[in-house]
Amino acid sequence: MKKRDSHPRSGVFPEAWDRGPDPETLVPGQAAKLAELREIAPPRAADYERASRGLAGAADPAELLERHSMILGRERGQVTLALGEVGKLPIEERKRTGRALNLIKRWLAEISEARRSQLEAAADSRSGPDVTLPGRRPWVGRPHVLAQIQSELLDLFHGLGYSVYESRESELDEYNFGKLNFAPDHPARDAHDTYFLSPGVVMRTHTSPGWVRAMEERRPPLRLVFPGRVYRAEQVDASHMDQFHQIDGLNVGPDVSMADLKGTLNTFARSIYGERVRTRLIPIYFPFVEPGCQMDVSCVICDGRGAVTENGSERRCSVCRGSGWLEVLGAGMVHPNVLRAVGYDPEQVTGFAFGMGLERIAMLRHGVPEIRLFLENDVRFLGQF
Amino acid sequence: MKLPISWLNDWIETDAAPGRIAEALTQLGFYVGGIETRGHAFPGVVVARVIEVAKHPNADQLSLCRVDGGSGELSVVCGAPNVRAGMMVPLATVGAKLPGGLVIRRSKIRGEESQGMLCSASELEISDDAEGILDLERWAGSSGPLTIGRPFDELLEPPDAVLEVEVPFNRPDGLGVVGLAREVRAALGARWTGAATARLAARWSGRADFDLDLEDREGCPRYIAQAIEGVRIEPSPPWLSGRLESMGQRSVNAIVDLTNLILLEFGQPLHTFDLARLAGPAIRVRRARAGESLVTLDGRSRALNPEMLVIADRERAVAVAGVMGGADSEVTRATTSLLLECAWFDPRTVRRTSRALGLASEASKRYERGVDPEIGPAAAARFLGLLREVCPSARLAAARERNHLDGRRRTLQLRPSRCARLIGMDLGGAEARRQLESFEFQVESGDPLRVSVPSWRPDVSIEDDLVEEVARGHGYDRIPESALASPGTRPVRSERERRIARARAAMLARGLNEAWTPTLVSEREAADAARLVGIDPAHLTRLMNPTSRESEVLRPSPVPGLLRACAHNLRQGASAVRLFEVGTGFRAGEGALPDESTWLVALVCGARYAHAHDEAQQPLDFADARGSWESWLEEMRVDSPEWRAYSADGWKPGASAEVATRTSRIGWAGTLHPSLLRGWDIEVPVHLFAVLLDALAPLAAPTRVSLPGRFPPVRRDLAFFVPAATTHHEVKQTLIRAAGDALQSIEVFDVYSGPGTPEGMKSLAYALQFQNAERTLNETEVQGIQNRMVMAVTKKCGGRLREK
Ligand SMILES: [Zn+2]
Repeated sequence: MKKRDSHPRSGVFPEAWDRGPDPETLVPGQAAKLAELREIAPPRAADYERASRGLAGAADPAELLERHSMILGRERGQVTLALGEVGKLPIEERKRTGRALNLIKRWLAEISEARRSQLEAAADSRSGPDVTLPGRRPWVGRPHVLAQIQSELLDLFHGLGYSVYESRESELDEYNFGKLNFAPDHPARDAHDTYFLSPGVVMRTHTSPGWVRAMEERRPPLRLVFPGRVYRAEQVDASHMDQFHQIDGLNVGPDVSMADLKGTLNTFARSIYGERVRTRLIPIYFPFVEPGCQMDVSCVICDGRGAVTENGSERRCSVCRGSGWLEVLGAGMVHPNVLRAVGYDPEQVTGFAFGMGLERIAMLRHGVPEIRLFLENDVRFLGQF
Repeated sequence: MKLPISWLNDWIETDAAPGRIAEALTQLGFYVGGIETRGHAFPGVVVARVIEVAKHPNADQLSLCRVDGGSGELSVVCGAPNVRAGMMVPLATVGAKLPGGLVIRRSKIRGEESQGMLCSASELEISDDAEGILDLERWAGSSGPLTIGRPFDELLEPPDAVLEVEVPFNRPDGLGVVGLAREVRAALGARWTGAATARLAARWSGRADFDLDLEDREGCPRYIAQAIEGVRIEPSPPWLSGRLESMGQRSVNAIVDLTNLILLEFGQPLHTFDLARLAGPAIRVRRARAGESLVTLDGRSRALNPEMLVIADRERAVAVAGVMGGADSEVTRATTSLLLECAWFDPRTVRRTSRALGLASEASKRYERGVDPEIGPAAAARFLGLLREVCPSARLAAARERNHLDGRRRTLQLRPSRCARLIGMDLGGAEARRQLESFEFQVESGDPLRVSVPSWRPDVSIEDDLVEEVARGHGYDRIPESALASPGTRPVRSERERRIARARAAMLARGLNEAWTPTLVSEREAADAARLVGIDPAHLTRLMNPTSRESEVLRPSPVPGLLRACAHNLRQGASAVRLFEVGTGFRAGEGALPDESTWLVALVCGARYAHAHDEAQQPLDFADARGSWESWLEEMRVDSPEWRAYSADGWKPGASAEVATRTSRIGWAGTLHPSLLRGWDIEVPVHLFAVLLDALAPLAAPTRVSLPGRFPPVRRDLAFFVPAATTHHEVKQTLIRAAGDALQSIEVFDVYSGPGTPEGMKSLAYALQFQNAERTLNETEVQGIQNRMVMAVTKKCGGRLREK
């Protein structure tokens, strides 16, 4: 700039700005504004038009900033400078020029702001993360399916007043059999293929030795559940495992009866197999209960019909083998010999007990075809529960 | 035990459907697992005569037959070569349905009309014989006259239903048709047939001239010996072989089949000796002599001992009592005279012998559970009655019965009140009596009831057994379901349960899957796992009778199973394995029982993230693993755990530690040695953490909280050069002790030992935060504390402040 004029000459901004786009799309009403300026101060109108196209055509935020300061910068912006000079003008021109410059300042500021937003929006849409990409994901751990069923049962029985009693896995023959009324040499022992650690010491074949330990330690009444791992000396195959899991329950008190047992077992069955399940109790023999019973529930696959409809034709249900019933647990009234063995008086207290297998429940509920899967711990299996 | 309905109908009068009978038995505790139908009905199949056979005009292989099926002549096309004029055949008329499901229709075969079908035995599913049309005149299976037009059904036994009954362990009476008939009779209120009543009342009686001596009256208190002469060993008649086949047994000859029939019917084992092979002839029931041996019917030589009861003749053992006969005195085709044995052996003696010999039979199975001691004479009488039918030439000869049983029945008392108390409903004395009598108990009214137990019920020995009989008879289904009464007990979750629950939850939160792995592992696996945690493999507990080498030792901790699971998942292509288990570990204890302890073992290997597609995705290292274990310890409220260098076989040198609290050692952590991992075929680094859950202090929240400070904290960083051998732990403890209460937190943020570090030194840098609970700390105070800390490190650790 050679000389400070009374007003900035047309051409204070680079000619190249004229190639910029009409700012109408950024801030509408440009034609009217130009017309107004031409009315008030025609040379300013030309400057305004070039400056406005310069701002609208700034290619990136840096260029916009540079042009903005050339026009409106506090220190060297041409419009700012011109406004500073207005005071030196003759009075009538002062008013007109002042008004024109203030309009220009406001309108250009609007365009500058609009272009800035436009550029930022464009930048955001270019450099932002691809939200369809997955994140950095930590591993997720899941409880074992048997642990889930065990917790569910323990919660259920906790609600019915039962506490947990944890008992040993290696056990004296006396506790696993003798005190549970298995006479020495009794054939019932054959049903329990027993692992021996030494003569007289076994891996427990059921969780019931826990009853004996608990009753020896405590006085009645008691309501306890006995979860845990049990062992049978069996060859392992798809449906046999030499290590599996049971939960026993024991309720001993002054007047505990089979009717109480029935109420408890039906509550269990409805909770685990669904409200609509039907149950039946049938007699069965275990040395440690008298009377003894087995509870069946209506088959969860065929709903107790014994048959399933497949491709329009009826077929025998393979889960209940056509009977419509599934054996789910054994139970009974604690045998007086067992009560006597722990020092209880069978005339003073009676009790019921029940026992069930966790694997059986898991297999029925989730259609698990092989018992081996439970201890194999394939994460593709575990991850489904 | 199988129960053919036809056989049942021989004993009780009932027209109940097989399904109803199955239901009744199941309700009484004789679980019926299935109902099988034997034989078929043949609607539309009739006896016919072939009148004429002509060649089919359009097919060489076929013939055109004119057949008389009783309702006019029919024209039938037939492809069998054996068809001839005059032959009596089964004709399936139009509309007939064959067992295979085929329905016969009028049809044209190669242009000739066929108005039915002549059947082979296999088409009727009465045998596998597909070799031509069944020639009824030569067929042994038919009974009754071959009248033209007679329904084919009438030539055969009607179809029979066979129930598959699971007999409870304590009910030996259920191992005979008669015993099951008694139960069905009680359930359905049916009557014995006239024949049945006669058979049950029949008693063997014979001469008393056979040389019989019971030397061991405890092992064998009752024995009937009956010699039979003029015997001819012949095949069984169809009714007898059919009956055995319906029970799943093969027919041998009439004599053997008859003994098996009695066994299945009465549950009373019988044995027949070839009388000519018995020295004497005589029978001695005695203990085996030391060194004595016997070749049993299965052809194996058995070493006997004086614990075992044998049947001997005058010279040697000829049978193992109640278990199996000897090959030498076996009935053969050449046998002409028999000795029938009908005995009662003591259950325990038979069981001991059977177990000692590793030999079981249908007989021993029944004797060891308890055969009805009173049934012998009826069973022997039934045998001899049927023998007259199947072997008319047989004559009874010498015989003897010895009986040392007192024949008294057990009597018990039943209080109706006891019954009401156990069942939970008061049935009253009359109903109890009615139910007991339905099972043939004899009952004297009163309170208590006086009950005499039938001889076939060894399972009923106490009052509560009678309660079960009453409940069974009344029906378990009719016992009411009581509302769950309040018990006077309240449920408690023990501290240990809560601690274990938190231990599991905290591991799950760290992205580890919960595993349940086998307790029984191999010797090598157990030994490797034992050494890791300083257990001498000599203290492992082993099974006396393992079923496989893979599971013969009790795990000392869950480590072996977790490594198995790790290897399995890696083989299956897992990019990482993250597993933990809470389980029991075993080691030899002071007494007979092993010590059991509850472990938590965690194992991680493989990718750090389930997913990351940038440089953050790396195989995780010991620091990653250790970080999780540390935060787990924090979640378990373990108070300032100390990580000490630890080495043992199986850990990677320099990458393992033991973890201890002030009071006890609680666990081990580190990276496993590649040579240990090779034992499980694992080739990637695996990081392991093993904690004794019972060694952790009880979970407890503070009884009085400390208030979080509210005045501005002051942050400072201090870096030291310390001798390379000095551990972070020592420096940290020194700093903490020197700083006093104002030090709120201390974290190591840089460890360096590269260029710029003095010889033999390393640099440790700590971020410190100071705060006072009551006021703002001023600069002088902080500087004073800092100086004390620097001084302490200088004095106690031989370090110095690293200048900036
Ligand atoms: Zn079903």
